[in-house]
Amino acid sequence: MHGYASALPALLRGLGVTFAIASVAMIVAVVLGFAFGIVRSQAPRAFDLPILAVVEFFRGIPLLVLMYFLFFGLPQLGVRTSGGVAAVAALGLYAGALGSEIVRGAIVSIPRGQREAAAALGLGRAQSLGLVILPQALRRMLPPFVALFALIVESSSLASLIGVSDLLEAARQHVESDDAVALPIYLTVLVAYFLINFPVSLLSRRLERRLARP
Amino acid sequence: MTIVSLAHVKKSYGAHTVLADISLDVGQGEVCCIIGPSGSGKSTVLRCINRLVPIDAGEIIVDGLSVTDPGVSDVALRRRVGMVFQQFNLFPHLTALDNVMLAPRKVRGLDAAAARELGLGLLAKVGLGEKAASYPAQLSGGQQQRVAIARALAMEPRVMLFDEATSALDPEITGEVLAVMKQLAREHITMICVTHEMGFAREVGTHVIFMDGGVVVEEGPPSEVLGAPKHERTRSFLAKVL
Repeated sequence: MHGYASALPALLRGLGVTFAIASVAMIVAVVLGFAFGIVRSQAPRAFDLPILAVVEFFRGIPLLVLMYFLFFGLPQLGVRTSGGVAAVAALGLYAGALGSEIVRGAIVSIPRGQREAAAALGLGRAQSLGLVILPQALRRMLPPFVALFALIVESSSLASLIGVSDLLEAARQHVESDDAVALPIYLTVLVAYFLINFPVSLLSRRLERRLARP
Repeated sequence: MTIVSLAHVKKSYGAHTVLADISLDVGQGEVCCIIGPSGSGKSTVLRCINRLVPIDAGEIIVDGLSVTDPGVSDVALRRRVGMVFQQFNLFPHLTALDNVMLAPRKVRGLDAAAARELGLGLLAKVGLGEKAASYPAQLSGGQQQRVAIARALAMEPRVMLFDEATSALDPEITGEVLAVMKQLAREHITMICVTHEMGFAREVGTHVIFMDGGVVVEEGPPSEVLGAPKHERTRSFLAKVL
């Protein structure tokens, strides 16, 4: 198959795969980020340290190496992972580590007086967190989480290197057989990645304005 | 009848002793004003009374409940003690009314209608009935502090603690907060006020306590402690602030 138009069905399928990988990875990252971020913000230092070590580890390794490890390495332990699962797991763990920093940072940035006022009113620890601290912290998490989402979308293109037919891989395969359309194809791919991220960025700006109480 | 009683309370942070040995009693309807230089442990006394700060030794009894008794829950204790902070500490994401309604709903378990009625009544009492829907950032400092007073009153506490309630306010608007505090005093609400407002202590206080270096140096009626201080430290402090 040759020509620009003939590539479009494959690119669309690839776009769907990219979208699916990024979405699932973002859900994993948000869940992990909140779970570990909240624990880290509440737990005594001794509990925080082991989690911090894990977070620092995932922050300090290249994402592609983590994908290779999960995709090529784990099968030797008998754990078979498809490219998609390995990509989602790697992205989710990596972004979850960053997400836990976002959540923890937003929670501890709320002034101590808020916690004291909640306690003085008789609110318990969970009530204080859920009714007073988190509603304020969520607002501060929004911009960094949007940046994290963009990072996940962009980094999901690494999955093309472990056999996932995402947007980039679909484009590469097409150009391999018809390199005359390399320019329009890759331009299309660039615009497509941007078009995933841009609405999210817009939405977050609108949300921020709506959440910004007078 | 004694509502709050401290006996030989001690509190240190590491090597730094904040409260060396504090004993004091506050009876029903009294307005106890704690004065003294900064760093003398005045605020810490208040924070120990509602267990925001655990004490190292001694005993505090609030309305019959022991602060050091692990069987006494935080909720049980804090329902009896309202606290007003220097920095207001209103919840910025909630309206004035929601700030006042939060604890009645979630701690006392009132239904929404009852909590709303209580909240609107208390906001009217502090002169902010028409500001119920405003967010803290839309209110002046004096208005915010009055909302904070209403919020503390909403738990219908046995004693109100005021931790330098007017210190963060511009001098010309401390009056509106002091007026609310005076009104509470007239209603015989038991109050313990850490304050730099000597005029308030003299006019409203039934009991004045001068603290310095983590101990009570002198105490008695305002006419004695402020009018005719016996101790040299009290005299030199008053000479500086009056």
